[in-house]
Amino acid sequence: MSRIKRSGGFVFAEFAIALPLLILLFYGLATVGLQIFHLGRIQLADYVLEEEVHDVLSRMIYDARAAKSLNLTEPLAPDFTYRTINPPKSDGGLIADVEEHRVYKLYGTLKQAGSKIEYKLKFEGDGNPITGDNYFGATRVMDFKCRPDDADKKLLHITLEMQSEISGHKIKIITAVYMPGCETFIP
Amino acid sequence: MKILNNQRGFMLLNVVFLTLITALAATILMDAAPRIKNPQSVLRLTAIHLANKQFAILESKATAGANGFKETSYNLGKDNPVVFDVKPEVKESGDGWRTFIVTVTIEGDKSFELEAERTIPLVTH
Repeated sequence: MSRIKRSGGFVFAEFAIALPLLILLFYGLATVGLQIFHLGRIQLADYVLEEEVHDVLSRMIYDARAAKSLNLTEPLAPDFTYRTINPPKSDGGLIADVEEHRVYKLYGTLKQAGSKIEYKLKFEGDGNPITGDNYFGATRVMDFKCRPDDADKKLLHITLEMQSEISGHKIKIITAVYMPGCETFIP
Repeated sequence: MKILNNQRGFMLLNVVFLTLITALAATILMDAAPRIKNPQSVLRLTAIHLANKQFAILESKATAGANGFKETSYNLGKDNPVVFDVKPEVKESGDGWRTFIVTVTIEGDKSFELEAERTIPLVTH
């Protein structure tokens, strides 16, 4: 009888030591795991933010360098006009010299009954937004400005500020692009 | 249980080992996880576009900022301003082409430097 009692006491003591330790270990692991998921989510959202900022700016630089004229009557929607030469068609061998427009338009969508305005950039006449359409990191455009230089109208200053809705981080990029082929400028 | 009687020390040792192994695993996992305090890509993005701005200024006839400029960026947070120092260098090759080299550095940070180069034909304004 005394032998059973002794061994029982030993098992309980062992359990009493092991349980808090186990709880501590699992708590620690769970915290670390949650932290990792959280960091991953934020990091991914930041990558998406950087990528979208860079995407918008590189598209704008590309269009601005090719632009024949720029219309800035609507400050939030720069309208680049440029000529493109399509590759010759196999049937007629014609080179089509056509004029194209590209308008970067900022548009807002009301999220919930007028509570929040979410700004996205898109090309006019094209339903797909350039920004804010990524599943891994919703973004919104906070500030978007195009301003020609006072001394040289061919120099276009661009300011773009975007914010990630997941991490809350903001990126503001100030850059400029030279438009060598821009002949007419409509302010 | 008589067998375990003289093994108590080893069992405690086991607990110690388990803790160490778990701590090690957690450390490895934490390290493998993407770190939030990694501003390198944001700084690079900002610097690339400041270099682009300098290129555009060099290419145009605008004189303001043609000899380099400084720009304060708050991309690492409002209370953490970063001052970018943009310096251009122009090399004339004589055959109608001009090479611009733009160096972007951060004030007070020796580890960051971005150098961009662009060769553009001379344009008569």
